[in-house]
Amino acid sequence: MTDEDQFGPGANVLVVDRSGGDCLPFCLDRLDGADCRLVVSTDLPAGQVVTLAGERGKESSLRVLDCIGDTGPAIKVDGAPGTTVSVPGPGVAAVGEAAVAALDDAEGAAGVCIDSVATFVDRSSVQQAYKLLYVLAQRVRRGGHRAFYTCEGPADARTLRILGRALDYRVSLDGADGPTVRSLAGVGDEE
Amino acid sequence: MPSPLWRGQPASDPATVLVAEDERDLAALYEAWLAETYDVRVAHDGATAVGRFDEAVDVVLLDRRMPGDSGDEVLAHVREAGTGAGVAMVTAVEPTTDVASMGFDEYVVKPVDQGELLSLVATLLRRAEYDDAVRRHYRVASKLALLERHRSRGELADSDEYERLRAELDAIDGELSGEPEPSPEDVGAMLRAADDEQ
Repeated sequence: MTDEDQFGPGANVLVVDRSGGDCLPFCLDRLDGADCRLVVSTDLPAGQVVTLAGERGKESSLRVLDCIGDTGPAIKVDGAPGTTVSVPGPGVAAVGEAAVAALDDAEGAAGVCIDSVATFVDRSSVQQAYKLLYVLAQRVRRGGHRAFYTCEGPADARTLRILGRALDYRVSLDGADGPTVRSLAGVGDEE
Repeated sequence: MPSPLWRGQPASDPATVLVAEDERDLAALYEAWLAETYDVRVAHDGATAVGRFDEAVDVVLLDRRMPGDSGDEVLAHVREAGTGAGVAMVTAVEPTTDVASMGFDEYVVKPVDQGELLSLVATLLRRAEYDDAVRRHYRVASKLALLERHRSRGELADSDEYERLRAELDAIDGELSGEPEPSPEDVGAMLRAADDEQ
């Protein structure tokens, strides 16, 4: 059993890559097998998310919340049947409302990717991002879903520790030996 | 049975509702409907509403058109105070696009009956209590992160304060896990509320 097999139903995973942009592909790979997939994108346009997701987990439906903020209402996305795109707006409140509604609508166990937490912090505050993560994580646990929350680029270590308190696991993609996984429930986890 | 977060228990710690309504008969009716369950303060104009608002007020029911300061101005004052009070506009003014930038939690067009008003207040209180618990969770998480950043694992393992904070975090989790899940609208309102950092 690998470390990643710990990500069972109800798991909330913070995926950190300080050096690059590998978080989204990593997460999408781990949504495969879910009954349905939900991707909340703050930086990548929905079309690109659909393309990336289309290469993975083709059996399950895909819902994308495009939250980049500069998308017009007439969004065109060429996706497979079962792909839907919504544009709730870039604000944390609108995103939270739409994401929770999407989880409530999910049929079966959803695989969720929130990309990215760092952008939510930039757009509002650590506290608002924390509230969003806390509410989503509770929803994920109670619904037996699995969720991945990405954080790419330079990130304040204390901020990551705070946000991690709302979640269950942390995966670091920076290591030369591949992803490292640890539970976030322990005492004084090493950075 | 009332939930642990619920403050609408009249015998112990009733929540406080501020009714700002310039129609005196209507204000008296609202007061009569609410007074069995809550502490009620009444104001018949905007300036009085501002004067009667303080951190003890949990919910504000605001008419938009009042003499002196309008309901919109009272709303701005309440939000600036940052107490986390829930605010509902209860008004005859049909909403237009200008409401998008206003910081209320609910918007109700008159007339409202007793059931609607009580339900409205209960919704706002539930949201406020849930939001308050998540804010407390954040504050404890923030303190834990600070200690973890500056203390070794050994020091943390021996620290009573660290253990107390972890227990507090678990206790808040326990409170929240016993609550009904917030609706999408509740979550939106919670995330629109001003936070402690700003």
